Amino acid sequence: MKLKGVDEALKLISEGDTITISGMSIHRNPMSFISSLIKSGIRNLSFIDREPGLGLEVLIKNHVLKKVRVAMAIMEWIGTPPNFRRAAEKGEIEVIEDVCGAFMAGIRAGAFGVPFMPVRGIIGSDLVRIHEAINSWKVIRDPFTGDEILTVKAIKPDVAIIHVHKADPEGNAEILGPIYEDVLKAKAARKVIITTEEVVSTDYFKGREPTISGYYVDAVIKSPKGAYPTSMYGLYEPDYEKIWEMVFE
Amino acid sequence: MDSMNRTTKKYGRWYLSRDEEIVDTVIVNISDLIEENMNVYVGLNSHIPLLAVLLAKFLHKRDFNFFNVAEGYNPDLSGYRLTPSSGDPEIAEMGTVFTSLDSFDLAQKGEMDLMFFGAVQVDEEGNLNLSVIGNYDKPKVRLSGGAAVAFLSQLVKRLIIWNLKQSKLSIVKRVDFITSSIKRANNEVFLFTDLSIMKFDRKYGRWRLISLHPWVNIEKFKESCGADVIVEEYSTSRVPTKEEIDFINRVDPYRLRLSVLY
Repeated sequence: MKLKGVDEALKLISEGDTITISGMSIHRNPMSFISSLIKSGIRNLSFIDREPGLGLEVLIKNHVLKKVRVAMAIMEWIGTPPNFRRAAEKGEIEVIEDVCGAFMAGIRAGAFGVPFMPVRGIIGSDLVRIHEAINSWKVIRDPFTGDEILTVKAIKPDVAIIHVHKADPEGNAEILGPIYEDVLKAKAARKVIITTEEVVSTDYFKGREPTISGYYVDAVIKSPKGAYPTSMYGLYEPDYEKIWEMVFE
Repeated sequence: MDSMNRTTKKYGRWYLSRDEEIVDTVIVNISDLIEENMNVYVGLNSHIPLLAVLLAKFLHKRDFNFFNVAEGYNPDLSGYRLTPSSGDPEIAEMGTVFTSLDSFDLAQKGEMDLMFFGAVQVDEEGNLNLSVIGNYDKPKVRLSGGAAVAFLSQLVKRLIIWNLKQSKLSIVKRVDFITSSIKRANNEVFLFTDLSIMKFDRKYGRWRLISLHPWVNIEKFKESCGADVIVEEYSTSRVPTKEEIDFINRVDPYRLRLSVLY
């Protein structure tokens, strides 16, 4: 039985941890949990994701993060998240820019249990120098062809926080619509917190493959409208006014 | 050339503003590069390419595979209206889910034909900057980041870059930071601005002017360009037809597309 209260789940996160969150930009971010995390007083976290938006922005606005590794921070039509931009320009956060293909390779390596993963392209970008300096990427020779190829060290976040449509008390979870890299995030992370619109009985998943198996999950939190004001596929759209207010006010 | 000028005069009156004229001209010329049987991907904050795709698919009835960041595969968007999110999950609701992981694997397999990126700085050697203005460690301006550009720019067969603020600050001799370099690839790369369409000339390693938009003369182009561009034979960009303008306005009645100009 992994059904827990928010306070109990927050104990899974420690000062200095690297976290990753579900969704993308202004869609299916675990916003309810993020506001509890902000209130908890836990600080100095690192954040890793591919294309985050609102979740990242409010964590930065509330001084929860010290390091951010993302391929793009974007609020869709609203543009670059203003607190992300300000904090980066003032040196309040360290930004390590990633690349979508490289993040995917790294989170795959983390999920697959291998030390690194090759990815095509990217070589020629100044980002290679940035990542080689922190030992997260390396250009090697393909052992079979001798061609240059980029490799990405396995990404293993300490905690993944994933908002889903349905979950049972054992942690089995279902996501509808776009999935992004959420399954890989859950498999690669050391601990997984699921927040769910709806808690279903264990019968719901019998004989089927859940989007995320309860095996990987440490805590399930019932969290209706838990992605608000970001969207939840099939349930609610982004609330642009509220998003604007959270970012600019 | 004459017929294009006549078309401009003929249809010019349907425009509400010069801003729409600029953006819609870019959209229809991008849509002309979306061909039958292509695999096409549209990313986040990409209303211009999304409109070009919708135009090619639902007005011009071209048959191609449309993948996107909302993870909807070939969604039926015939009655779609643009929202502030080009990654709107509703797009997935109108198709089947095809993840970006799988779409990008297609690119690694050499099966992705076309992708679009907005770049803040573009230099004469074909380097693109979407990361920072100034120094990477202490940036004067921290930009959103390049997303997939460094990855996909070398893998797709045709790459479309847009920057609708052409000036000596955006089209430069040398970018502040190379988010992505197109030099290593041998694909086709087009650059769309508010003034012109350019194509990267692989033989000379420089951009070549393909066309000027109808309201632009070569002096204006040159004074708004900080890069050494090959200017030889060029034409006038095609302007949208009334049918295309009506289609674009129906899909984007709130003119969300104009934000690229500001």
